[in-house]
Amino acid sequence: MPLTIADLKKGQRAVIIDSSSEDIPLKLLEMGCLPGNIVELLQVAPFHDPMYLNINDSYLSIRKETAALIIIEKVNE
Amino acid sequence: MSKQINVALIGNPNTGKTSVFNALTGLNQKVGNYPGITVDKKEGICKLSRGVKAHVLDLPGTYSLNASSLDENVVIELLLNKNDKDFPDVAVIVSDVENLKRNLLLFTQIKDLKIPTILVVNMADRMSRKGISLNIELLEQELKTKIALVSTRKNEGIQELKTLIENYKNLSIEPCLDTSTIDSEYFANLKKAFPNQDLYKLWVVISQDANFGKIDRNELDFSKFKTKTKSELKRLQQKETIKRYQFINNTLKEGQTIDKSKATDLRTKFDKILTHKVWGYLIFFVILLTIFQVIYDWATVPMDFIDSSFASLADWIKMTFPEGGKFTNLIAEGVVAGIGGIVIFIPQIAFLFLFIAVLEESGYMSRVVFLMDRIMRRFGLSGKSVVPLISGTACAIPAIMATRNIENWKERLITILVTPFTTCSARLPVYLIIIALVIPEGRFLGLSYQALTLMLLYMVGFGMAIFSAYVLDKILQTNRKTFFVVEMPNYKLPLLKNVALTVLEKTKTFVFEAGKIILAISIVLWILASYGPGKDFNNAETIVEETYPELQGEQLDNKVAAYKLEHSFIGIVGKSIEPAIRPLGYDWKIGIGIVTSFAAREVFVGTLATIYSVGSALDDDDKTIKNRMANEVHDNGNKVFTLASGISLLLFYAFAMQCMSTLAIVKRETNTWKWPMIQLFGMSFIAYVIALIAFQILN
Amino acid sequence: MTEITQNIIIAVIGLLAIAFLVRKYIWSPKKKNSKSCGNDGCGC
Repeated sequence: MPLTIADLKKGQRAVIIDSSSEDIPLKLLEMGCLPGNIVELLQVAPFHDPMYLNINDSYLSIRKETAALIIIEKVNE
Repeated sequence: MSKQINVALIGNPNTGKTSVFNALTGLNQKVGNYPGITVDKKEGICKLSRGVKAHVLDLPGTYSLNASSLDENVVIELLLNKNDKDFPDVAVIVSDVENLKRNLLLFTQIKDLKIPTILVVNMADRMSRKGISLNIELLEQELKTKIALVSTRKNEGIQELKTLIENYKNLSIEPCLDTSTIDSEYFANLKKAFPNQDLYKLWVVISQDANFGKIDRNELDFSKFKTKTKSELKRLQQKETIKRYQFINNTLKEGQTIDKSKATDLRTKFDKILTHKVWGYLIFFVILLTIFQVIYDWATVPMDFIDSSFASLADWIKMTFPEGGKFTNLIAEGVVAGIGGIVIFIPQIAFLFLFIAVLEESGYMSRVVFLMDRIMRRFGLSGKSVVPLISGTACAIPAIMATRNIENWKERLITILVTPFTTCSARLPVYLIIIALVIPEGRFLGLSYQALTLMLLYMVGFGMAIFSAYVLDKILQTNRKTFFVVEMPNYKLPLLKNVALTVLEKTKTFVFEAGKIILAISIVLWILASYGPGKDFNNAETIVEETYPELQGEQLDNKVAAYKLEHSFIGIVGKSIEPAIRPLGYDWKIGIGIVTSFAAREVFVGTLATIYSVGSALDDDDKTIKNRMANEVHDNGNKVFTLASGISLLLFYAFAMQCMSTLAIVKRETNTWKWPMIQLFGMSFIAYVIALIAFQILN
Repeated sequence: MTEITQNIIIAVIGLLAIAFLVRKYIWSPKKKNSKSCGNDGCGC
């Protein structure tokens, strides 16, 4: 099972590998959720949903079901 | 001869685009409607120099030309339609210095449409605080545009912007990158099939998400062209986005330097607490309670003033123009009372929108959406439903209009349908008078029973809204797709000018949208109450004199008036529904009140005042409506307003859809009569049943 | 003002009010297609 943004813990950072799933809104890609960009999990609401992220210096929140579609790779810090 | 330049203000949300618009147009702005769709059209006039004006259109904020909501669709509809009278001579893209990377995506797309474009870098005053510096000359060269560094807060850069706008003909219309390379073969075929059309424009039309409104494709016939499947198009769009960002990243690598060590970051510090799992919610509820308390306290003073002013005005009119007879009464009791009934809510509504505007301007609202989304979704709503639901406590009309930014149609529809359950300002007069009548004195845990009842009613309203949302969610067909992407903007101090203009606009909406309807209905109702069919009404004096020969003077007048009312058109309606409402504890007089309330709830108190002040033949020193009502008895001698009937009435008003203005707005926002009708009958049915049960149990 | 004059003025105002309400509620949509919310995934 590939790692997705939904698996991130608070404060963790990762690199986006694949954001090509059809169910990801285009708007999210246009806000910078593209392969190669860094994503950091800043806050989560209860039940881990929604997730408040910093993607490519864009601060936004998305629902967990969307986050689960974006495949990432952990960054070694 | 004055020349007018068409300007379109475009940009991401939260870039301060509205501030730029306000700085350019000042008070010379107005809000209208785009024909056929429910998006506000904001436009204004800006004087550039002697004899030269700019017509500025403030388009809805969007992140890209690819629309994901009705609002955003407006942008692309305009920019693709050269024949539209508002088609811009020059596009002003507003970006904010901290989010330049993302803002430039839209910029490059617009450049591709070959429209003269100016780039505004707003919030320039924050540059040094964030350690950002820009090489303007280089950027202007790479992006093939002219840049204006603007700070609306410090009022800098506006004049430069105006000059750039005036000299728009000097702007380059070359695109800054070539997007056709994402699939050269496909674009070459496109070009062959439609040699006379701009290539990028074709691409935009083809690739639009069909869910968000069809671009007028009349001039473009794609039936012969072998276009791609939806998923192929999506992939291509992704490729396009990646390519644009590559260009942007390269440009900014040279043109922008960020010294992170200089940057101060308030956002993450605040968000640690404000979006905290526990503190976040606590703080939010405290803020809510404070708002309600403050509004309650602040609004009473102006409301009392307005109340007495209009009452005096009505009296004055009656005294000064007695020769007008019935006509004078129409003006005093129908028109003035009707207008008064609207104006009296302005303080409350304005204050509530003031608070909401401050919360939005500061950036805090996005955090509220974040905190509430999960809970809201359990009930078929969205985090974005919070603002409409809260606004509904002022007035459902602007609240329902605020649902426009909810992308998911089902969440939006459910929000629209349940918002009227929240306790709007118009219910308060009814609540207050009934509570004062039937709820006993006494305290519980320091709060009076009366205050507790009021609080309970608010909670019942919210509770019913949430509960019916839950039910509707189960009934309506599900839509799997979620488009929820909410930007969390940086916190900023709300600009007074923006807040004031927003409050003004929302209050005007209430006054004119609701106001016109309420006034018209007040007039019609007055007529129905002042005229009646047949001999009973017309011979009222004679009949009463014969039946009560001992009555004289004012008592006789009152009795006649009461008789007339009973036999007027509205009296007949009230009496005919009496059998239906007696199980709820009401009599025909309350029946009249309820019927008139279906126009607008607040009319209830005024109607009862009329009915009881003219209906009672008692010798009363104390003329307050409350005392009259307290003394009202049924034919069998029992009091009309008891705890049972009072609570029944309160609950009825809590749930019944008694606002024609709301129905009109729902019809407009959903484009069909189906939903307002369902609301009307559904809510009234619920109100009836619950009021019935309440009365029968308590009696 | 005679009673008849009053009644006429009132009737006129009443009719205007009713006309306004009718227009508001039974206004036949000019270019409204059946693009109504809540019927399909219109994402409006």
